Parts: sequence; C-alpha cells; structure tokens
Amino acid sequence: MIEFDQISYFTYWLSVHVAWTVHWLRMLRAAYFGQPAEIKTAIVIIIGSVLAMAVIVVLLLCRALGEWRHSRNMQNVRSRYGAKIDYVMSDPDIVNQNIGVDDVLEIFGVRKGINEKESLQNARNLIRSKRDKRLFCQLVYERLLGDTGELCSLNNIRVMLEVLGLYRFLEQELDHGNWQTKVRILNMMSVFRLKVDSWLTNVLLLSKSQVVRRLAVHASIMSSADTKLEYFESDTFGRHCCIKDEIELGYSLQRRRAGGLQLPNLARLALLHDDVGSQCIFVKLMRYFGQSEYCGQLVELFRRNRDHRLAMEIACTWGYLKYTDGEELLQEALLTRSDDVQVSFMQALTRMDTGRSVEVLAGVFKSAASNVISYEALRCLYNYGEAGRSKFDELKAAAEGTAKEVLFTPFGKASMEAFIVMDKVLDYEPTGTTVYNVHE
Amino acid sequence: MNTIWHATWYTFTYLVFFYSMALMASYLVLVWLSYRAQKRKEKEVPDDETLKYMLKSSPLTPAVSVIAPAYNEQVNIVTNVHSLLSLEYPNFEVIIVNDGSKDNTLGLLKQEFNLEEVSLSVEYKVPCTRIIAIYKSRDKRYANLTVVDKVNGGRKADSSNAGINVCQNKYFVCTDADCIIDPMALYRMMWLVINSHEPMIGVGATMLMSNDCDIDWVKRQVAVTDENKKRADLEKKGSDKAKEPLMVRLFNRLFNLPVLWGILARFQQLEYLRSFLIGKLGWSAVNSLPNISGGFGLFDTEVAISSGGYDRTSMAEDMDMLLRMVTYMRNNDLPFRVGQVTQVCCWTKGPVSAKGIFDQRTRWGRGLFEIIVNHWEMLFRPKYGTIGAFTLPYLFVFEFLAGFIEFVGFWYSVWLFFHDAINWNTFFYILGMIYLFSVLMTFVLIYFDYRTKAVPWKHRGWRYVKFLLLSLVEPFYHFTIVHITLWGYLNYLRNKGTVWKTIER
Repeated sequence: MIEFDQISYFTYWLSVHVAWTVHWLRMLRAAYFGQPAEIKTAIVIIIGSVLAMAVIVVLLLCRALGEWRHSRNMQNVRSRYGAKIDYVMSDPDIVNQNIGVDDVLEIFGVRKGINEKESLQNARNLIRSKRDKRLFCQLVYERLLGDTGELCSLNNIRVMLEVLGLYRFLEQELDHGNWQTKVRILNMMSVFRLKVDSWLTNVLLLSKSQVVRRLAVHASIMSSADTKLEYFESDTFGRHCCIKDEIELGYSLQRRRAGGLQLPNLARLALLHDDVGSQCIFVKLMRYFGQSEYCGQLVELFRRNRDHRLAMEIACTWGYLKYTDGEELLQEALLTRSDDVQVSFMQALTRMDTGRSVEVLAGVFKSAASNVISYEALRCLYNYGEAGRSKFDELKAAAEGTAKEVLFTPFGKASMEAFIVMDKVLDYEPTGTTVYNVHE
Repeated sequence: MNTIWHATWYTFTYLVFFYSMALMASYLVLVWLSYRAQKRKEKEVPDDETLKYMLKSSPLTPAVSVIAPAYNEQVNIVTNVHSLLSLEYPNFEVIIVNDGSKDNTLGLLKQEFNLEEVSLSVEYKVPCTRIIAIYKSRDKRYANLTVVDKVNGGRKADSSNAGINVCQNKYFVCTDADCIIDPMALYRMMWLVINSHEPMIGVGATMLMSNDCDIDWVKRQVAVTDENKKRADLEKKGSDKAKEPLMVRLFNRLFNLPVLWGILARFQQLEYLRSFLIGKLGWSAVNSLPNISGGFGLFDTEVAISSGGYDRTSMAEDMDMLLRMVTYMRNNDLPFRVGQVTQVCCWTKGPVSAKGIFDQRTRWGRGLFEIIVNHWEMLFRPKYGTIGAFTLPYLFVFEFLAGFIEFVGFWYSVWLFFHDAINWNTFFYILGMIYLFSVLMTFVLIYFDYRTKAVPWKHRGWRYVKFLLLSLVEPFYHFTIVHITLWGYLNYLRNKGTVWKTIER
C-alpha cells in the first residue's frame, strides 16, 4: 500500500525536476532569442540534428528487436520441425515415393485417431499459432528454392502441407491478408505447385494491387483448364505490359504445358491486340512453344503492320517453325525494309531451307549498298546447305579485289591483312541503321 | 577601399552561409527521395531466391553480355575470368577484351580455356582500335566466353567499345576484370530492366571497396588475387628493388605506411556508401541519375551505340556516355529510365596509399570539369528532363563549385585566425552545425543500410560504430580531398594527365 509520505516525496521530487527543466529552458530561450539570425539557424539545425539522430537510434533499435524476435521464432520452428521437413522433402529413402497421410502422421509424431478424420484433426492442431504456420511455410519455401531444391519431392511437400492443414491456412491468408501477404503466398503456392481455387483467383483478380492481380493471372494460367484466358484478350494487358509480362507469361505457360494443360492460340491473341509490344510477346512465345499450326494466322498481321520489331519477330518465328508458306512474302518484302529487318528476313529464309531462296540471297548480295548486308547474305548462303554453298563458291570465284578479301576471307581463318583492309573499307562508320532511327 | 573590401567579404560570408543552407537542404531532399525509392523497391523487388527462381524458369529471360577489358593482367586474369563465368544468371556471355597486353594475358587465357580463333566478322559500330582476332573455347563449359584481342587503345573506353562491337545481346554490363561481382548481381539489375514500363537504358549498382570488407567470400577472392600479385612481385624483387636509391625507397615506405591503409580505405568506404545509398538512389527515384559507375553498370546496347559508345578521350567516360545516351533519348522524344540497384553488386580494390588517392581524385576532379564543359548545353535546360533541370545544375553548384567555396572559406578562416578577427561565438555555432549535420548523414546512412541490408556485413553493429567514429574525424579527410580535387581542375585547365596510366589498386 502506498504511504502518504511516499506520495509527498514523489510530488516534491517531480516539482524540483520540473522547476529545473523550466529554468534551463528559459535560459536556452534567452540565449536563443539574444542571438543573430544565422546563430539562431545554427541552433535550430543543431537541435534538429540531435533529435533526428535520437529518432534514428530508436528506429534502429525497434527494427533490430523485430528482426531478433523473427529470427528467434524461426529458430524455434526450425529446431522443432526442420529435420522432419528435410526428411519429407529430400530424404533419399522416400523422395521417390509418394507418401500418404499415415506417413506424414508418423514423421511428425501426430497421435492417430479412431478414424482418418480424427487423425487429420490432430495433425491440423500440431501447429497451432498462425505465426508458426507462416514460419513453417516460409521454411519449406526457402528449402525448396535453395541449392538442394531440385532434389525435393513436390508431391511429398503437397501432401505434407495438406495433412498439416497448411494448404487451407494459405488459402485463408490469401483471402484475408494484406497485399504483401498475398504476394508472398501466391509466390509460395506457385513454387509448391499448389492450385489456387478459381473462386479465390476471381477475387484476387479484382485486387487493388497490380502485383497481386498479375500473380493471380499467372496462378490461373498454370491451373485453369480454360484456354480462353480473358485477361490476355483485354486492353489491360496491352496497356500495362512490360518485359516482365513476357518473362512471367513464358514461365507460366511453360508450367502449364508441363502440367499437361493445353496452351492457348497465341496467334489469335496477337491479332486481338493493337499495340506492338503485346503482339511481339505473343509471336515470340509462339516460337518458343512451337505453335507452327497457327503460323498462317500471322500473315494478316505481317501484311497490315509495318512496325520493324513485329516484322522481325514474325520472320524469326516463321524461320524457326519452318513456315515455308511465308517464304514468298519475306522474299517480296526483303529489299523494301531497313538493314536490321533485312538481316532478320534473310536468316528466316535460311532456316526454312527450301532451296528456293538461294537466288534471292545472291541477288541481295549483289545489289546491297551496305557491306554488312552483303556479308550477311553471304553468311546465309554459306549456312544454307548444299545449294547455298555452291552458290557461295560461285560468287567467290567471280569476286575480285577488295570485295573478295573483305567479304569472303572471314569465312576461312582471318588474317591480320584481311582485317586491315576491312578497317579501311568500313572506316569506323556504322553501315547499318539501328532500330531507333528507322523511319518506316 | 577598406569599406569596399569589408563589404565584399561580408557579402561573401553571407553567400557561403546561404550556400551551406542550400547544400544541407539538398541533402535532406536526397535523403527523402532515397527513402521513397527504397519503399518502392520493397514493394516491387522480390527476395533473391524468388527472383532467381522466376528468371531461371522462364525461356524469355533476356540475355546479357558482360564486357571486361584487361590490360597486363596476367597475374589474376584466369581467376578473374573464372569468377565472371560463375555469375548466376541463366543466359549471359562474358567478353574479355585483351587491350594489346604486353605480358602473357592472352597466352594464359588460351591455355586455361582452350581457346581457338574463330572467323566472326565485326562491324565497328562504335570507334575502337583494330580487333586482331576473336577467340572462343573448344570446351563446352566455356561456351559463353569470348576473348577479343585488339591493338592497344590506351584507354579502358576503347576496350569497352570493342566489347560493344562484339556483343550480341540487347544489354551489356561493363566492368573491370579485377572487380569481384556478387553472384546475384545480374539478376538484381535485370529485374529493374524487366519491371520497368519504360525502356531502361542504364542500371547502376552499389559498389564498395574490397579492401575494407568483412564478407568471407569476398575476402577469400581478394586473398587469392593478393597472393598472386605477391608471387609475381617476388619474382621481380631481386633485380629491381635493390637498385632503387635510398631516398626513393624511404619516400615510398612513408606513403605506404600500414596505418594509412585501414583508415583511408574506411573513409572511402563511407564516401561510397553515402554516394550510392543516399545520392544515387535519391536521384534514381526521380529518373535523374547522372552517372553509372564504370566499375559495374548495365546499358542498353542499341542506345549506347546510337549515342556513339564510350568517348576514348574522356577522363569520365562512364558519366559522359550516360549523359549522351540521355541526350539521344531526349532529342528523339523516346521515353526512358535509368535505375539504381540498392544492394552491393560489385567490390573493387581502391587505392590505399596517399599517392593512390591523390591520383584517383585528381582524375575524378579533372573528369568532373570535363563533364561540365562538354555538357554545358544541358545545364538548366528542362528539354533534358530532370537531369538537365536539376541534377546537372546540382552537380555544378554543389559538387563543382563546392571545391572553390570550401577552399576559399577554409583559408579565409585561417587568415582571420592569424589576424585575431574570428568571432568565436559564431565560429563554434556554425562549425557545430556543419559537424553535427555530417554526423546526422552518417546516422541516416546507417539506418538505410540496416533497412535495406544493402551490404551483407558480417559484424554489422561493430561496422556501424566504426562509421560513427570515422564521421567524427572525416572533416580532416574531406578538406584534403577538396584540395586534391582542385588540383584535378587545374590539370584540366593545363591539359595535363591525358595519358591513362596504371592506377595502383
């Protein structure tokens, strides 16, 4: 019980200290207001700096404390479950087997119930707190992305997460968490190859955060049986796309194909969009996923769009997929385009390897104003095959003087003299136009 | 006459005072911008493992060329090339440009990597001296290695241009062969490129000194290169060292005292971190980054070629090229961004002797003067965006002119002292203000480093204590650097120091 003497002593102590503080503040105020303007400014900056340093120290300590607590919690989870997680994920004895519910219960020491329902309930109660569940999933995620990730069994991981109730937990976090939690969970589920329910995906597609929407789209690509994929047909994709979309789309479609699902008609998606960026992405992806059956649909795009980037992508795709019906179009357009585009067309004709383009390439060699184009035409002929090689030899025999040394010699072992001659001819001037100063 | 003299000095002192206020205000603005950039990166940049997983798994991850010029690097070239080849990125090539080395650099490369000459034609899109031959490896493990042998061009810029002429990819990274590069560097830089809605023409990365580093794997690499160098020196030691005159030997020993190594490296470490984490990150937040370090920077190949590549006559070729790229994009009304990675991606060995620092800072001073003169038309021109409207004027007023103002201010104070004319009250307040503000900047730097984990220090707490102690004595170092920088300006005016010499690392 507090005594009256203690209260009065405390009151006395407090009043003395307040009086001293007021006295010093008055002295400081007198000192401050008695100074010229520049000194006042200096005093303000000094006090401000000291206060700012104090604030920074406090912020640092708070951060350090938060990190220490996180690492301590992580250490606890690791010590309790780390070995068991490693065993399930990558132990040589079970990594090639598909473990079941009973295996998981045994590994994690969960008491078996009367029936499977009770056993699963016991398993879900093993990790009680949300914090520990998050850390458990984080631990599995880090192990999977680590150096030994490729040795892990994804199937065993999925079974473990389902039995321990963590799959449902992740879905709940996705539904109720903030955008940072959603991004983290979506990344995790993508790596674990866990399917996100379509109703949840539809909710995530309406998220305010662009990052969440993007990840939700990719989650749906990897798991949805529907090949329409409306998002990619919408203007939203075209307006906001960047290189990252290209990469993520490539990654998601690859995973979709690996999962046995059908890929969408990428040529149709290219035709649906007006912006060149999106069109180039879809045409490039056609090439990577070998959709040769849709190459014919690109003819219309090739004819109506004069953009050099798109023309190069279409030519490259036709070349790699050996779409020989496009050969005539490329031959017709060859001499009407800029240098970079011409090079790309010639390379595509070479890859098609029908034998019908040898004379066209020889014609380009003879009529090209630029040494670079001439050299490229020769290189395409050289790589064309028998017909091309014989044409190359014919042209070499007919060539004379500087042209012969500069253009044909590099196909053998280069000598110093050949390069000296080449330097003189090229004279340090770029002979081709770049994609940024092409006006078409 | 006396009245005019006093009025002039009075006005000058007030100008200097307002100049200091403006400088401090600009630092605060940069701190705020840097903080904003960090918050945005927290939102957009995933952790390293997720980043690696995403980019590794996609078939469309853009390819990068890593260009590393090498001149007389036989001591470490094999180690350095192995280090470059071990970068973690799914699709990249390494181009080593042997700039007419007089030693056995090329021979060692041919032997180690089983190189053979190939018949690749080269188009000289940007100027460089003649390329003699191009080599590729017969060994599939080194399929992404290209070695270019060329006639010596006298400058790193010339070798970098040769690398640009040979590179096949849309993006290239220019680095030094002896830099230690973080394995995740390319991932972090390319993430900024692919995540940007506007074309990214350049990305800079934080660089630190390997001299004062406590990160184990960096220290191991430094130890290997030091060991190689020591062995090479021992081979020569018997014949040359003994012939040096006594006074020369004593002079060299004085300027290479071990006690200087540690503290000079630490001062530079503090400068680098402040420059990258506050200055460059702040400017990148408003798309106004004026400089990407030549030690490690990523560029768009097409834009670099269209703007003429590196200037072989410039002392600040890295900054000069970036400004020309910006000019090119602005003149053609093309959207662009220049980014900065927060994390440390590259460690380089810095000068540890007084002579080494003197040479380096003289060169930098000369380079800055050159940049201001060559890009004078960009200053105060909104046509060139925020770089022309804010960044270059900032560099001119608060970096270029700062040397003169601090020099005059310092010696004027000394003159006043000897004439017993100092108002000690004002002097101590102003000195205290500047001193505490600079210590505050160190606190801010420590907070940013801790927040972003830009540097994976091993003993973080102790490292921060050292920074704080250093900041207490940094003004003395700073004034020395100011004088050296002015000497660099003088060299520019006298047109001295145009020859690229081997800089002590």
